Amino acid sequence: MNIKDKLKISTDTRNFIISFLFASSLAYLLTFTNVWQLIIIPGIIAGMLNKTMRRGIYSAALSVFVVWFIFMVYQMASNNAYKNLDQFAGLIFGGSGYGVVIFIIVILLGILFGALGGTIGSGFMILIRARYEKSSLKTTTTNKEKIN
Amino acid sequence: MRISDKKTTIKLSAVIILTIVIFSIFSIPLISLIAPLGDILLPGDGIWRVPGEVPQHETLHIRGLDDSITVYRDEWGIPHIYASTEEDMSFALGYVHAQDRLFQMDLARRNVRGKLSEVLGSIALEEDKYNLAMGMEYWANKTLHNAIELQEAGDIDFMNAVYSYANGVNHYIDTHQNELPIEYTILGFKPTKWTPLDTFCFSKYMSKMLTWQYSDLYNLQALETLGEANFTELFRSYSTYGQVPICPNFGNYDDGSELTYNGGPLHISSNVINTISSFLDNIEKLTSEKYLIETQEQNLIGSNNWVVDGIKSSTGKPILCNDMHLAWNMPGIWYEAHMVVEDNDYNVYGFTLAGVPIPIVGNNEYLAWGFTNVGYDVMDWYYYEEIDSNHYVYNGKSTEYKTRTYNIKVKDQEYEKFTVKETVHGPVLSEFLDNTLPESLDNEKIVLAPKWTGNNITTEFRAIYGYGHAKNRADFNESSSYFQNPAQNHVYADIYGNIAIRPTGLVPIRDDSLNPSWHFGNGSLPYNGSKGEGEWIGYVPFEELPNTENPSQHYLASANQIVVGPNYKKYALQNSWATGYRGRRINELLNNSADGTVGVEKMKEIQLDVKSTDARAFVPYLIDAIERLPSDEKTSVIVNVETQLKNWNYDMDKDLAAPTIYRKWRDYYQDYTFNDEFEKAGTSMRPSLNVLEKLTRDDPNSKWFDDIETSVIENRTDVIIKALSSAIESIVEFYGTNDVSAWRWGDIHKLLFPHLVPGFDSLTIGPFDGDGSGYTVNPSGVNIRDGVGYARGGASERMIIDFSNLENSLSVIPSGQRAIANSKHYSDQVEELFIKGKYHRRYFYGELDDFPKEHIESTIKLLKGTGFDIPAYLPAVLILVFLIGITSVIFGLNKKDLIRSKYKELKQKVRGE
Repeated sequence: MNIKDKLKISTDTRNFIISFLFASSLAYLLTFTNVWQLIIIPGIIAGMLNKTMRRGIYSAALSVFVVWFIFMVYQMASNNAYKNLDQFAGLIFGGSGYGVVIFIIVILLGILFGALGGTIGSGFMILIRARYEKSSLKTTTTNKEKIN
Repeated sequence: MRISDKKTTIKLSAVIILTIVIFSIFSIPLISLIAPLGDILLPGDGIWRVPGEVPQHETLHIRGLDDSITVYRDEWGIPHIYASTEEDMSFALGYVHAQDRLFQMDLARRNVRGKLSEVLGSIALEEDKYNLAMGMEYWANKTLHNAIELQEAGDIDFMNAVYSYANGVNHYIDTHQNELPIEYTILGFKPTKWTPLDTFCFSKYMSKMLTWQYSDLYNLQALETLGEANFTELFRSYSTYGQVPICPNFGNYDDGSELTYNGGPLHISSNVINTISSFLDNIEKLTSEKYLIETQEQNLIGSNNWVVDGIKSSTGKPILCNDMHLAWNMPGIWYEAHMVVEDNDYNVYGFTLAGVPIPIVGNNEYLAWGFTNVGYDVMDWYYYEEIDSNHYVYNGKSTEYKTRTYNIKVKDQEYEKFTVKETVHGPVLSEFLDNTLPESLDNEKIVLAPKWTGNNITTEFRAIYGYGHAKNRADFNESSSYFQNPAQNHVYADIYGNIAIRPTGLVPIRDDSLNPSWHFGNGSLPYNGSKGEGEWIGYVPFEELPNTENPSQHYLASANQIVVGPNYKKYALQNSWATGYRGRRINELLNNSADGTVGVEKMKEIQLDVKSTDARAFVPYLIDAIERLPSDEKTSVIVNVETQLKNWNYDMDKDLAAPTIYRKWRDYYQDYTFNDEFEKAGTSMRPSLNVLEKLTRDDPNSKWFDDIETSVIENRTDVIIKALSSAIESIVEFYGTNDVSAWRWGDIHKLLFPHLVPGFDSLTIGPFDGDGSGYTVNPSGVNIRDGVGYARGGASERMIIDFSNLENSLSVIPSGQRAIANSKHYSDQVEELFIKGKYHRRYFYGELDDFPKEHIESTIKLLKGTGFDIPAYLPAVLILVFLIGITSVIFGLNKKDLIRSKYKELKQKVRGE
């Protein structure tokens, strides 16, 4: 087995990686738009690029998680943003030190939004593929009949 | 449809519905006051866009600048602006004000202009109505237009600074719409453009804070309930006891002036009294007015300033000090700034208000000035009979109301139309609160309206602008003549060795000829506007106001005490003043300092002094009463209390127990002396502490010591001991121990620096254990009747100007420069300096190149340019677009075969058809 064969990855895995990269890039870009609702789009696209719903969900959730995690950690390190989290948490819970709770909640929300997007994207693709296969089968049958 | 397809469809539908529900929850405000949670919390927006520190190096290209501007921020975040023209300097000041204090500026202007409910909703509607009714915005607008006319006529030239300042603020707003302080994020709104009217509103805002009062109404209430003789004794006669006049050239009061009541019995309609009582009850429901009344009661509004000349000082040159006492907030009210216009010989370091382009107090290279509140009586209340909704009786005649109508925008609601009626004197304020007025007897409806010097076209900006440009006493005096409202004791010193103090402001002269005999006149009580009482017939001429220069005592000081001694008989100036304890202490310290010994360190000691002059007056009587106690009544706790008091140096030190004992005892002593009569009379007013001091010293058998609820006649000693028992019981309950040494003052007396917005407790700084009290030179007034007291006001800045070396001058503010909570400059000065009694140097370099590099924390270069700046995030966006493109290409290549086969299929289809 040569190196090329050793490095060969399955189509599904390749799709997973590509969908993750694409969705992550798009998710990062969309964080500059101030419209957080758009985060559903990378999830949908990640879902569409994977054949199975499970992979679609994982890819979407992972991409949003990674982007949001890196973004938040960077902001906390460079802009002292943890203090804002802590102050907002203080308004809800009173006192200080609950910023980490807000951090975890936001991460979980990111995973949730990604997963929802992935489900939607995957779901649509499954239905479209099924419809396409059905119409392809019809066309093939028709062509076979014509040939015959 | 196959079963698997059906299942997928159902799953998909459920997920879509779930997504819509979840996104909706995070997209709509769950509480009307707070923005949607998604907008606040989720990355890319909200709290993630709140700016932290200012950029270390910032370069801006600004269209319309005259030349380039450099702004250095030092290690405390204080900007040092170097510009070629005043307009450029003002632009830069506007920019840095907005950069550091945008929300504070926005909130203040909304407060004055009745625009709080636009962002806070209907909970702020009554505040907005009241503020609009008061007329601050209306008169600010008139003052602005007057200033524009004067500018066009060439009489003034500071309006260019006002316009440039607004441009600077707006440049920041325009370029940072997505990087706003956390308060905007949480409350869910954005700042609108800044206008010159917003700046002029600040003048009225400060005037209101320092001069608006309801005391005339409270006086009438107290007069009516206590009787004429009692009121005269407690509120007019003894109130001069212990006062050291600010201007020393008009004599002293010694033991206070003895006044007896010579007027007739009080005859006033019960409708008037009931209307006033209802109005005062309702006013306290407004947060802003309740706060104003409380701060005035606790002496939080006040200040200290003093100056020594070259003979008194150790340097041979004057030293000037000022600490203005106001409410503490995060951020604090003052913003330090240093401004240089090199070509104009303009080099000023001062305390500015974020919203105003001119330093309010400070110094230039020639002179320095500082303010304390004078307390001139600049406001009178009038009551009228109302004929109908459009007419009232004025001076015996039916007169039509004038009206002002507003449409108030309320968040998430329709506009609220609101009409203010005005009499010849001012706005009718008794009507705007629902159900204010009680059922009137005899169908006589009474309305109340104030006349206030702030409700005029005023010229204080012209004065303050002139101070920064003044080069000598004559220049300064000339500018002072324009200082109208709020009246302030101007302390002054210059490099030539002059010192001076002038209590300056617009003081009305009343015609009291029509008053009834029970009326004290001079604006101390409300006037019957229907009968034409108390008309203002002019103002005290500037030259006739008291003024002292270069006194033989070599110092001057003011701490809101009485302005003049009994020998000033020209005009009636004040009806009330501070208790005088701070003034006494400052005068004592300066008077007892030998010539040539007072330096900057001594000035610091005075500003931070926490010796209680009132304790020194009262405690000997307390000790004497304890000593006279029979031995069987002297418990071990009382013995220990006596020891603590006897060994006390009267410092309100947070680590000592004696301050706790004294203060608790004093509260009970005041209550037991006056509450029986006053509560029975139904008035909330109480005499000043110096009145109680006078009674304690001079009249041990005064009727006020007698408890009218008991058959026994009590005297001073009885009340002292009763108060001591109650105090000890209360203290033991609070501290949970009889160990007197554990009763630390700092455990019950705290300093708190709350955020501007009530409820934003996580942005509050403190509490800290605090030295001092409401009457010490370093003040922190607090109510400890219900347990721990949190002082929320005191010195809002401290400034010491040393004319032997202006760069040796010091200052500090009880907050930080930057109102961004995650910035180190949010609270650095209060936590590292203010509560520790420390100061920072005021870097006063007049030339850009002289500014030491080691003190530069960040730099802004504002350059003449096109006005276009490349967004900082653009490179990141370009890289991402490139990555997406590459990803697409790779994806495309991987799917190359699939794409080819699909293409062939399609071609076949088309050919086949």
